[in-house]
Amino acid sequence: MPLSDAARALLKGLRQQAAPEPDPEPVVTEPDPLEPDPEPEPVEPKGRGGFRDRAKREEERFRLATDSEYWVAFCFRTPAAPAAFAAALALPVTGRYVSGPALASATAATKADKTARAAQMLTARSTRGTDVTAQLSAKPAPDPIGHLPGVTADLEADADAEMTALLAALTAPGDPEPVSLYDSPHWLLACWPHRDAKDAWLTASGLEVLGDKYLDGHQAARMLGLNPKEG
Amino acid sequence: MTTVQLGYDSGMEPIRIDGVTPSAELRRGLAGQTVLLAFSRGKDSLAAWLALRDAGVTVIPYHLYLIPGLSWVEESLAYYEQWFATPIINLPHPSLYRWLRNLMFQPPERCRVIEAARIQVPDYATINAMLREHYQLPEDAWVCDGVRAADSPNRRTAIASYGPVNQQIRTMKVVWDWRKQHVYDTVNIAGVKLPPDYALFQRSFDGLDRRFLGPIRRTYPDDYARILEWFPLADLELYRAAL
Repeated sequence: MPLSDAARALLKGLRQQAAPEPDPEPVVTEPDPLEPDPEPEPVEPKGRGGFRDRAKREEERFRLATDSEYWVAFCFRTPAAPAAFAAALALPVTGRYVSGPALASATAATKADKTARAAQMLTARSTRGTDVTAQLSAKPAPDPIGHLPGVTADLEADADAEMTALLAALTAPGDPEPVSLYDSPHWLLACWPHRDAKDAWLTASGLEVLGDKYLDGHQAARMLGLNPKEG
Repeated sequence: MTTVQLGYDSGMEPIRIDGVTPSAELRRGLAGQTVLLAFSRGKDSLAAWLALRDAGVTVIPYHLYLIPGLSWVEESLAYYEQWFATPIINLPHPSLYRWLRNLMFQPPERCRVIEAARIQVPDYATINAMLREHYQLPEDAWVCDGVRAADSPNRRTAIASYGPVNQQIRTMKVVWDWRKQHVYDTVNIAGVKLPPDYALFQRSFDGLDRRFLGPIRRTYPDDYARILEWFPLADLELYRAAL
């Protein structure tokens, strides 16, 4: 989707922020009847543009400011694999994050071969690292709120119980060797300034066939021509 | 009951849209009734509460939280409960369910747990119906809010197109034509405080983007940690700002 001048200005502002904790800036919110927007108050339309253009710009600014899908997680089988992946590309790692733009630079030589798209998609479907039999026979995770009683007369208490049970399940120790690679606790995350940049890299690198959020890190390494050395 | 001198009466003209019923008339029509109020703790819903109270309407407020147990949210709710001498029921916001179901800011190992929970996202009509039943209100009891036409061009357009009253789902925008000054005058004259959100974000807390997370991390580190408990990758908002 092409970006307007207003959106580019916003993104430029994002990139130029050196501090990791910038001050808030005013953007408009989504239409939510429970959360009124702040000012400025609109004025009557004047000449070209008017409310419609302003509304469109505000909607785009809102999307860019609040979109949370600007990252991908590369999932791996082993604890050492994420660091090996980053090292193979000489990418600095902050915690478990790497810079998307740096990743794009490091993989710039890897261009998607459109003529090989079918082969890539087949590659992406291969099950390297995944035991298909185990995956098919694996029991689904237990419903973390399934054990709760039904609705009672106390709405607040019901909601509290649901949230407490859900958080307990989310924060419980996970399986270090899950059946599905995509449930792995061994991951490396690449972050871009915005979703469009992430999507552009996925397309350019050909990794779009692996997905757009949780990717098989081993497949990604292979498609990028990497040979990560673990430990 | 102490009545307040509404900002509406301060001399500044409210917004007028041809064919749309002024909010003062809407409020007069509600006199003597009991209504639900979507109370976000924001200035507009606060002004709506004061305006309804002044019009002789019995208000049952409800608040929807984005993250359970944030300290400043809980403290401000307690303040408003005391100030208005009215309990405020506090339930999860649909956005919380939606964020979780969409795996927003979730690391891979949590996906399985969230998918197992088969989270359903309630809509506002469902929440309102549950609340009417909870408070034993009639099925057609009004649900009021503080949405104003002056909030944004989109809202002005929506109100001009559809009006401030939705008869089908029984919702009403009871200060739709107020300007910002009406809101602030009403709040100030009443002597009720705005929540800490305004000092932190210049608005009420309503998202997990960096406008909110940066100030929360600085000012309420325990609450920031609480947010990361639910959305562990939310700190990407601050990481990406430096890219």
